[in-house]
Amino acid sequence: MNFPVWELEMGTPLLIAIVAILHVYVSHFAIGGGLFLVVMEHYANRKDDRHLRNYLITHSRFFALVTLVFGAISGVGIWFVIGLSSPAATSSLIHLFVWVWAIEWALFIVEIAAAIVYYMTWDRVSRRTHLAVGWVYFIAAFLSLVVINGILAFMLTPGEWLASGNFWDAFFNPTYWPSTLARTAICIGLAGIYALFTGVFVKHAATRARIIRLAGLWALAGTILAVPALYWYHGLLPAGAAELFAGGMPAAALAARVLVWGGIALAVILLAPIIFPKNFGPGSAITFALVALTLFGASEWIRESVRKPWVIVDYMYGNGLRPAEAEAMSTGDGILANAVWVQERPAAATTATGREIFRLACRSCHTLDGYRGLTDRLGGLDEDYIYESVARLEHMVGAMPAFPGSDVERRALARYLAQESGTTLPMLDGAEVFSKRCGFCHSQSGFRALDGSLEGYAHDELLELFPELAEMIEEMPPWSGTEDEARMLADFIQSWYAVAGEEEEN
Amino acid sequence: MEPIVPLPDVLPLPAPLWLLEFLLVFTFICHLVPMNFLFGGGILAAISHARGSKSENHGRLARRLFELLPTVIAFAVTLGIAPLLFVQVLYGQFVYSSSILMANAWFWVVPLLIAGYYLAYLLRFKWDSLTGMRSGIVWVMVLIFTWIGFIYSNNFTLMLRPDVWAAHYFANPASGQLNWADPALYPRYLHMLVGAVAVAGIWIMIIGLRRKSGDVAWSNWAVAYGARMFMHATLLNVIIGFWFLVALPKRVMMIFMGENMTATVLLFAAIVLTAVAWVLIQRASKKPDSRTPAVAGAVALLGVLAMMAVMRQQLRTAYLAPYFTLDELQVAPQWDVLGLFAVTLVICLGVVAWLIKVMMRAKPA
Ligand code: HEC
Ligand code: HEC
Repeated sequence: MNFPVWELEMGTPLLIAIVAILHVYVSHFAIGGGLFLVVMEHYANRKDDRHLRNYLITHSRFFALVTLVFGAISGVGIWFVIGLSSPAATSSLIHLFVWVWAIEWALFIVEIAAAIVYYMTWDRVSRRTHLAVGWVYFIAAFLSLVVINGILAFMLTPGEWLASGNFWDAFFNPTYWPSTLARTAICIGLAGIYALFTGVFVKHAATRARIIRLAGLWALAGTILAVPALYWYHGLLPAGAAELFAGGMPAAALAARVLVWGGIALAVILLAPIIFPKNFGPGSAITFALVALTLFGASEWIRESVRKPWVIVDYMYGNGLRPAEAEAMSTGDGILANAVWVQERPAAATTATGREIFRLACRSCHTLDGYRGLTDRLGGLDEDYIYESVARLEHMVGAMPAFPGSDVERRALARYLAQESGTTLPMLDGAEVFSKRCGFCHSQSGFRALDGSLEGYAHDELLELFPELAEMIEEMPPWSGTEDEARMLADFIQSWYAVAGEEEEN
Repeated sequence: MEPIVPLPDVLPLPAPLWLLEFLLVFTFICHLVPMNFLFGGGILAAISHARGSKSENHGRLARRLFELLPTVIAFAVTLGIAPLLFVQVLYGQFVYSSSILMANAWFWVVPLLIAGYYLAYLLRFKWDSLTGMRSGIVWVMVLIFTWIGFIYSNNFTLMLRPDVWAAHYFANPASGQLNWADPALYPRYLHMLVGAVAVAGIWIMIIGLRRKSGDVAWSNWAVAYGARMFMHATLLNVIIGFWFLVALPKRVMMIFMGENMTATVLLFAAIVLTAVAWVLIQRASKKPDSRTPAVAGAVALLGVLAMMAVMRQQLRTAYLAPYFTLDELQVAPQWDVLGLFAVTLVICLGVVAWLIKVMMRAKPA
């Protein structure tokens, strides 16, 4: 809370996701594509294949335009965006890894220079020299991945560094090797996908078929190699990750399914260009590129999600606080007394204070009406309930950090959120009551499932149960719903078993 | 409202202060040259393009500059990353804050840069087939880069003003706003922009000198024209420079007026060296056949740029002095990683030198 918060309407996490996925997609292509180019050039030289060479010349210009401009600048873009949305974490990474960034930068200079020289000097320098330039490009690009990956993996598994503070522990952290392997595999796969894309435009039919088949093989090899790498990686994820996949973070669970099934689907459909390269057209190439982009999106999404509630695991929360700072705030004099960018001090139980608390404690992950917007989810709930829920954020879906503020600040936040969301909106049905009064922490059958423990309760038993729950289990907020809501909720819970019963009868 | 002063990062600096400060200023100088080619060269190229229908010389110059611009952009961006890194290490708490205070504009630098860069490539590859649309594209591209420069000036002036941050931020936390209210912003930006035109004039002069053997008439014209652009822009920039000086807060201005001896001497020396460069270039414009005054003038100008970069750092130190000084920071050098960087850098620069050699020796396309 050392920094101002960018109250971007769409939500900064979404912006990061968009920029990061596009960049990562292109930058892995920039690496794998470099390898593809030099290997193909070797092959074309050896066979003295003029058509293949001509294709490579065109492909390399496309390659240069994509990687030099979009790839390079969007990488700078990620840096801009994380600085704007997670300045404290960006600052930590920059301090710890200045020399890694600096090494990355030195490699980047070579990459850029080599890419320019490579596409500009076809047939203008000896074939050997030209190939050497290509290799220089690929090696620099690959090394830059090997280097930057230390920082990416660190955010998820800082490992020994937390205790030792030693740079090398931070860099060669537990997921360093598996993620390096996984990314290498992905680079190879993507190189094939892009080659499919440019290969379909080759005029000479026999050459086209050969390129498409080869490109298909590359893509398949990358996809298959990614499997053991990702499996290895998966085993080393932080402890809470399994729970998130199991529904603790709905979006992550979905992304995991997309990744697994999409990967299998990709491997299968990749047989098409390999077996029937002649029938492979631009439409299919675009489809493949989109499938790959989706998989990429899913895997990056997962990487971001399993890190919650942290931005750097066990070191800094998503809201920019270190555990000790959060602890000091919640047990001491609260957020406003310690945050730097505050307009209203001291804290009072007003919506003005609440607005500031929302900005400081929640805005890094939530918006009001946009991405992960809270008003929709809180509409119809009473202020007391929100007040009680905020005290229990760490038990909810989404793996949130505990609320770091004082009691007054919590009250102010509840008041503000209740005002913004509208407390008087009536709840429409039992499903809505469930999702708003229980669904932050439970689902019917997935995350912290209730269908097992609530089976067999009669309607009036449920009505009696709701107010008692909080007394039994401290993690639950006290029931504060209306009688109508309780009835609707009980109906809804009972409907689970009615449906199941009918199915059994059938 | 009170100044807002964020705290420095709790993690220590991974190198001695002097080294980081040196790298910040040095890499900025390296960035300054291609960045000036880009800003100033873009503007001069657009002007030449507009005059190209009447003057064949201008037409050729525009064509030549647009051929080179994509590579210049690559250099400007690549060399710009390093100072941006080091400024975050040393002044992160100020730079992140000011960036967020103008968040939308700062973010849009990225898409705009991509757009401008692609337009530069479009001009390069499709010059002839663009025909009528060409001047539109040229001006859009120039506008984009001029705007990006303005955004940078905004951020690097706003980062120095914790005294205005509270009012600035709470007025508009959703999108941020530029540093419009700062009277030092305008002369500072213009100083940079007009300086870029002057440097680009020298660039044109060098292009002319290098082409000697090919087409003597045009080369001589280019040398003379580039020199003239330098001379006009520099005269104008001396005036803007004084405006900049008096627009600074008094406390900051005084460091150049005797309060800080190095800063004062440096300013004086930079003015003298500018005059030297001006005289040399003027001689070069009169005698386009002789390289010596041109090269000497260019070297003198490089010296001026370096001095300006150092003064820029002194200015930053003075602005921030009431809130923060660098010696507050903890230092815990990572010598091994730093060594690795040094080795990597040397190898990489060697490789780049080889690549440039390959390019120079390549057969003409
Ligand atoms: C580190 C990021 C982070 C922070 C900080 C954070 N949240 Fe969350 N929150 C999440 C995620 C992720 C979810 C799950 C949303 C999803 O998967 O759709 C969530 C879910 C919720 C939900 C339940 C909504 C639902 O989808 O069931 C509420 C209510 C909520 N947050 C309130 C808050 C409040 C109030 C604050 C500030 C005190 C806060 N959160 C701070 C990340 C965060
Ligand atoms: C703020 C989070 C939260 C909310 C909201 C919440 N619960 Fe819970 N609930 C929990 C936690 C945590 C447990 C303990 C689970 C455990 O120990 O495995 C729990 C346990 C339970 C249990 C006992 C389950 C068992 O298997 O032992 C029941 C029943 C239950 N909740 C019902 C509800 C109902 C009904 C609602 C809505 C009216 C609700 N809860 C709202 C967090 C919550």
